[in-house]
Amino acid sequence: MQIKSTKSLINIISLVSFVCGLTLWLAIFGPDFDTADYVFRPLAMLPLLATVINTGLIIFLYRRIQPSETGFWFLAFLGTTTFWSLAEFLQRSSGVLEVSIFWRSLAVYGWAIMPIAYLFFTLSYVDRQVLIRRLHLQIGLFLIVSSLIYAQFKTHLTVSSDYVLQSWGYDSPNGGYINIFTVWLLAVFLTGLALFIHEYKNAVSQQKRKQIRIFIISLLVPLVGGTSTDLVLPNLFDVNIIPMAAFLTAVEGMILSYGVYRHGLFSINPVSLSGEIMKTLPQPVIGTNEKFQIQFMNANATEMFKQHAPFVGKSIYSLVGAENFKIIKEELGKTAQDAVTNIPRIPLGLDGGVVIAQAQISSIGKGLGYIFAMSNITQQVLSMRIIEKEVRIRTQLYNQEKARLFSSVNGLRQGFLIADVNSKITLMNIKAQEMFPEVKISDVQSGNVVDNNAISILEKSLSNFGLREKLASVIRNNQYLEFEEVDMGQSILDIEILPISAPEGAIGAVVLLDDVTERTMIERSKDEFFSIASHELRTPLTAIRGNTSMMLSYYSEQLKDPELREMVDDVYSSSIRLIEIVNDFLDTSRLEQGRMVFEPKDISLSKAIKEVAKETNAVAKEKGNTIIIDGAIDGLPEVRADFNKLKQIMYNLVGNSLKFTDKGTVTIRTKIEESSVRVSISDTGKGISEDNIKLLFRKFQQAESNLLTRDATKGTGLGLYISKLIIENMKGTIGLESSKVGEGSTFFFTVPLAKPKSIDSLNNNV
Amino acid sequence: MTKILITEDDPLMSRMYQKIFTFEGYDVEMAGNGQECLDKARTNTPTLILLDVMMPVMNGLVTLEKLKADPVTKAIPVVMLTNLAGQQDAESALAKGAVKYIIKSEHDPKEVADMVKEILAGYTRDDIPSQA
Repeated sequence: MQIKSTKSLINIISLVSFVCGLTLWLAIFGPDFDTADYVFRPLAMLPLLATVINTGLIIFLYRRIQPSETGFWFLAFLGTTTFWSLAEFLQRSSGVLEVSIFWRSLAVYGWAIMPIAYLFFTLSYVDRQVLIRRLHLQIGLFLIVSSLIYAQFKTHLTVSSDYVLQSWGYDSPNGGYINIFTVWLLAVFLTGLALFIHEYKNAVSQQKRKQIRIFIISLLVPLVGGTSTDLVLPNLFDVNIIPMAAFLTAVEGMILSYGVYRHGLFSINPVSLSGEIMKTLPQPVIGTNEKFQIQFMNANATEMFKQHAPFVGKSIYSLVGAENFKIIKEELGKTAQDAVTNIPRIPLGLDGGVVIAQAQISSIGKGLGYIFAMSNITQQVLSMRIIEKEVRIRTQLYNQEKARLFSSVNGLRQGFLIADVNSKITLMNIKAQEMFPEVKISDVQSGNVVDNNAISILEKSLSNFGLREKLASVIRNNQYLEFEEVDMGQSILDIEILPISAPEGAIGAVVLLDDVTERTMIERSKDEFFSIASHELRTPLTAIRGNTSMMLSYYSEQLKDPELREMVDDVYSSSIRLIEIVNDFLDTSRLEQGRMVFEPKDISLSKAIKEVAKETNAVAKEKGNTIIIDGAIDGLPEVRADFNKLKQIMYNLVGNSLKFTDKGTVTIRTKIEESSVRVSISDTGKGISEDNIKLLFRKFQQAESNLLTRDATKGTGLGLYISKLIIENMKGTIGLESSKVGEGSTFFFTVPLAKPKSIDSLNNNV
Repeated sequence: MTKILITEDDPLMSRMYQKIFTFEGYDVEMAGNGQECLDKARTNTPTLILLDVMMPVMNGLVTLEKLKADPVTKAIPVVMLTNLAGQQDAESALAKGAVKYIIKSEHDPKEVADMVKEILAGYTRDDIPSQA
């Protein structure tokens, strides 16, 4: 708001001054102006041309370059030249001597001030604008310019009697006074030349070099031409030639303008704009002299340090305090001349919440002073602290999680390894470390593998297994692999390799090594135990069974006493029941442990059915039952099964039916299905109650829930359970089809066809 | 008379089978182990040998191999008689030349005798003892 109103105030002042100034000029000079005083002289058109061109250049460049300091001085240079050439044009077009002298006296304002504008332009162009502000320079220049202006009134640019009407108009010969000006001009131009040459040598940018070349050429025009026409030729060689300094300076202006326009003077030289930039920076900026006395503060800096105001004459010391000041000086001492010193943390504790700041300090020129660019990093520091705390908590949680993982992993009885995506082993639990003691580990608890060769050691131990290959395959396919009973020296291992799956695929693998040496040994000895047990148990039972059966058949004479006979009979039946129980127990344990050997072959189902029917016929007759095979079974296709095991299932089902049926029938039916044959066995026995159906096919079911109500005469109750395990092993099914108390039950099983009916029906089934 | 050589180490078993085959009218010869079986098979030329599998000194399967390797004994039919329930044993025995594999606990002695009678019927019809 304030800036805006100042700007409009300046605009008003400018307009008023412009109007008033012009009015004053017209009021003072206007009445004296008489066109009759002027004549047309072709040679006088030369300075007019210079005026027109320079005015055009000012209009063209004004908006483009005026905001920068260099641009301002360049426009000032063009302005003074314009003024000078305009006055010269009027001087030379005057028909009356007095008028001519008047204009010539006025031109001095142009040419006396022009070198200063030019000097300042060159200085700011080479980034030495600070020097322009040197008071002694300005005093010196003022003295020269004022003396020149004063002198021309004293001499009337030499004296009116010396004026001669030349072909280009009235002119005075160059005398001592005007030569001083030429020397002044020469001195300034030569200084400019020196500055340009120096800058040219230091310039890095090719564009800037090109521009400086143009500037140097432009300088040579008035330097050589002007000196020749105004000084050397008339004075030393007595040649009567038109003085062309004004025109040639205007030509210089043209060439300079070309250089400025062509190569974008101010985009190459942003330093000229630094003052403006600094003001608008959101950062607080402080400029000091070499003694750290504050020379400049931008608005944000003033705001930041407002509690220390006023700032005039203060040192940066009073803003930042002794501690910080010491650090700043130390850091500046360490940094190279042109580098920027960074002080990441300056604790300030200022009002308005600026607790910690950061400072970047660069020195201006060679020991001229320093620029402090500050940033308030209080918020960042606070955020950082919060983040740090958060990170600390997260790290702690992570470590706890890791500790939990390690403990779990270390608690495993299996060896546990983690491999990365390149199959490099990165982690081993304690068990794995025991298995492979050669692998180097950071520490036992965390199990980090530090050995790059771990995989080779593992491969060597697991000879022939090809761990590396298998790991790679698991990671590549993102698929689990399992291997049983892999030999590793004296040990036997079960190995599982699991991919560590991430959305982008497997990022590694976990290897589980289960030492099954002992288990395998026990299993192997268990096998032997079962063989021996079955043998050892059966032998005495066989003796009981065999001998009682012989007593009953061959000694009936001696067993006339019915009670004695009954006792022998019971001994005989008990032995058979015991043998069945032993057989059931052995079958169950073999099936459950997967040690029963199955030899599936393409076999005749009808043969199996006929054999079972024949072999159970005697038992059926004992209770007045009949076994019926329903339908023609000779044409049945072959099935895929173990013949003896299939018969065992049928024995069981037919045997059960007979057990619960008196004076009835047991019917065996078959039905060919899509990929199997369904065999059902129906009886007309007592049937099974709803509650007991649930218990069928369970271990020790015998269709009674209570242990004490078991009917011990009906065997172990393992029959259906064993049948289910056997038929499932042969890819068949078994179940109860229907049962009704008092009417009978129908059980069924299915057994797969050796050759499924057709590929189509097989597919439908799949 | 048909001569049966029963090879059985367990006295309970050997007595039982000795009785039934005697009852059934066979001439019964006993051997307590494989070696004895081989010796008696060579010298006495039995019509049929009943051979237990699990025996000390020389087990039934080895004995069977030797019987089948000896030209003197190789023609004598051998019936394996055992209480080992493994199916593999049965198959390897049949592969080695046994004519039948009988699990003792599954059958009454009379049934075993009937099976032997059936087998012999196939071999030597003349030698079947008359039902006394």
